Amino acid sequence: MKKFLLLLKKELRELLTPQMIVPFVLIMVVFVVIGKTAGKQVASQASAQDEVLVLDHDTGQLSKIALGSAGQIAKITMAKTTNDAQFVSEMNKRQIALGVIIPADFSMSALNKSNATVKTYSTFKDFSLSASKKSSTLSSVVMMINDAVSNGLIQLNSPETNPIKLKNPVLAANFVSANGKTVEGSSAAVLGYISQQTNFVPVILFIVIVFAAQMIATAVATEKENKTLETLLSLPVSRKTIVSAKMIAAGLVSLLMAGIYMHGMKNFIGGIGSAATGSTTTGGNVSGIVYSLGLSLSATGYLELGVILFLGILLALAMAMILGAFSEDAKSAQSVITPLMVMVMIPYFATLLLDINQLSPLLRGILYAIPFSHIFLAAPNIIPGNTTFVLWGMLYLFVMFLIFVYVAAKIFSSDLILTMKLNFSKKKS
Amino acid sequence: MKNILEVKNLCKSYGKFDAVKRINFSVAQGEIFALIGPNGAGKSTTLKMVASILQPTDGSIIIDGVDVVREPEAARHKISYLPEEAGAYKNLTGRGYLQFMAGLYAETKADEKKYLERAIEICGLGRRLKDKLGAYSKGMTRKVMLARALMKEPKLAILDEATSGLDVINALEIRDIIKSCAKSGMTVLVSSHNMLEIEYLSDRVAIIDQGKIIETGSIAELKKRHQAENLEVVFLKLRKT
Ligand SMILES: Nc1ncnc2c1ncn2[C@@H]1O[C@H](COP(=O)(O)OP(=O)(O)O)[C@@H](O)[C@H]1O
Ligand SMILES: [Mg+2]
Repeated sequence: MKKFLLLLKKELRELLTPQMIVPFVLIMVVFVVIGKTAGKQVASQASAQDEVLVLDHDTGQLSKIALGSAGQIAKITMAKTTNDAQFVSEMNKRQIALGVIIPADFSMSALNKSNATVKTYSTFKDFSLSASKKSSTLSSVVMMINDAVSNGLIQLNSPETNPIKLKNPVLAANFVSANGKTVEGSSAAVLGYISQQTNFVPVILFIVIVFAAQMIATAVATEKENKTLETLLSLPVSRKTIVSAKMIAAGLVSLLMAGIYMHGMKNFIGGIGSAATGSTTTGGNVSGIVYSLGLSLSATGYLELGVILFLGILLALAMAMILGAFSEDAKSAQSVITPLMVMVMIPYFATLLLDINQLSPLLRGILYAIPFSHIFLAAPNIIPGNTTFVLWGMLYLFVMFLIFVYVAAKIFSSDLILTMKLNFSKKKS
Repeated sequence: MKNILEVKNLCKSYGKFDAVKRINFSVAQGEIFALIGPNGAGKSTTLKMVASILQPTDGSIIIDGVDVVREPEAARHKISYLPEEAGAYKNLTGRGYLQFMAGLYAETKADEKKYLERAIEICGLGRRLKDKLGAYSKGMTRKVMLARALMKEPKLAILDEATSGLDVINALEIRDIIKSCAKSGMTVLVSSHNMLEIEYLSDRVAIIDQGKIIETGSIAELKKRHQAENLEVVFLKLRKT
């Protein structure tokens, strides 16, 4: 036990070097800073109304009513020019991206049962998310104008009718059901909220597993390169102690990273997410619905996710340790773990880009056979309560871990650890 | 005197390549025995097998009555091994490294303290032990490594190319350390490709070439037997025949 602790301490010291910590801290800082500033940006953009420049030629009163109603969703600014030809240049000069020209016969044609036509203008400076939001503002403005005009026409023709009731005689009350519970709410809002909350999970899983694998493969390869491994293996210390100290140290560091990443990414996504949902739907309300449906990750959900991630890290460590034993120096350790990287990448992208349930049974079987798939499939299955699937995944990962750790121990307790190597280029004669 | 090390019919193949082919030798207690031969002769392979980190393809190794192949863990209590060009954990100080190793060799706190003190004395680096190993010269690193290997006064010290790559002064110091340890009863198995230098260190040598021992004996015996002024000439004469 004393020797194990000594080795564990040494492994941790070897892993927690400035070369490892600095890039890690940098990535964290970048994430948090981007998250915070992007969050503020999104929030200010969401709350600020887009400005619309309006040139009103209408001789009647209808345009005033219509613009008043459009003013609820956009900031209406009246143009200085009265000349259509100069309208766009005024938009550019005043840096207003959206514009509407209301014709002189606007009220007249509306009352005459023919269609009135307004001209809308959008100027493009970039094609970012905010540009597309601006273009939707313009169609909303036209919708509000239509709404106001049609309300006016209905009241003009039959003053005792409620125009809102006439236009929407049927109302829908929306319910969402999950986990055997049903709550009033919109499915689109709930789905959006959940994907926001869970999007960051696979990214972290991916980063942490790849990082853990790289870490231990490099550690093994470096010891081989420096011949410190030969010394270590000749000591009166059991090989089990040596292997487990290496694994546990790398496991602890990976878990630490996972925790910090989770926290950082939550801030990052949370910063953008809450600001964005806050303006359109009432964010608090949606999260309340999600919570009462049991669709958010509960404490046990997080625990299950943590356990499966831990098992995944252990398996990755055992595999990477074996792969690291094939390398002769730290440089080749990176290329030696490529097969492991591919095994993590396939389920990562598959779960990100594909609908697993639509896959053919063969492809799905292959995906399920890759142990790391079960990590990426955990969160989407924990949330709707498919606990059995998650538990089978855990069991599978654990069995695979036992197999690979057994192989790793065998390699370390034989001389394979010193003699194994991949000779692609130079063949011994 | 009793034999601390007995090697019989030892063979090692890497795949199809036979690196060590049926070698036999034994080393008595307190003796400094050297395996000498050109690069690639199989010296390191032999030493690694004696040090229990490589498994022989055939043959037996007995250290102080313990069969290394059957009971490697027990054998590891009797030996210490210094790999060829051994590196160290660069982030540790010299003292930190020796302390760490003392902890791994010792079973009790008292032993740990004793080992550390002896290692500090052997390497003779004084205040420089407070510096990181990454900042050490080759000679300093080798002294720390040697101190690490000798700190527990093992029954058998296995030193692969103990002095190779060092300047005259460092090599001389290291040879003196090894000799004084042997005087106090420790048995030493060294290897070297430098046949001239080994005359200053060892009592008996085995000349190994292409995996086979081609001659064994004390240095004086070999020189007389082959009418040569030094071991290099002995080796060249042996090779011609
Ligand atoms: N891990 C290995 N795999 C394949 N061949 C090896 C390995 N280690 C050593 N050899 C070969 O075995 C022979 C003996 O090597 P070694 O014992 O290191 O020689 P020496 O120490 O005498 O210079 C050399 O030809 C070397 O190339
Ligand atoms: Mg050698």
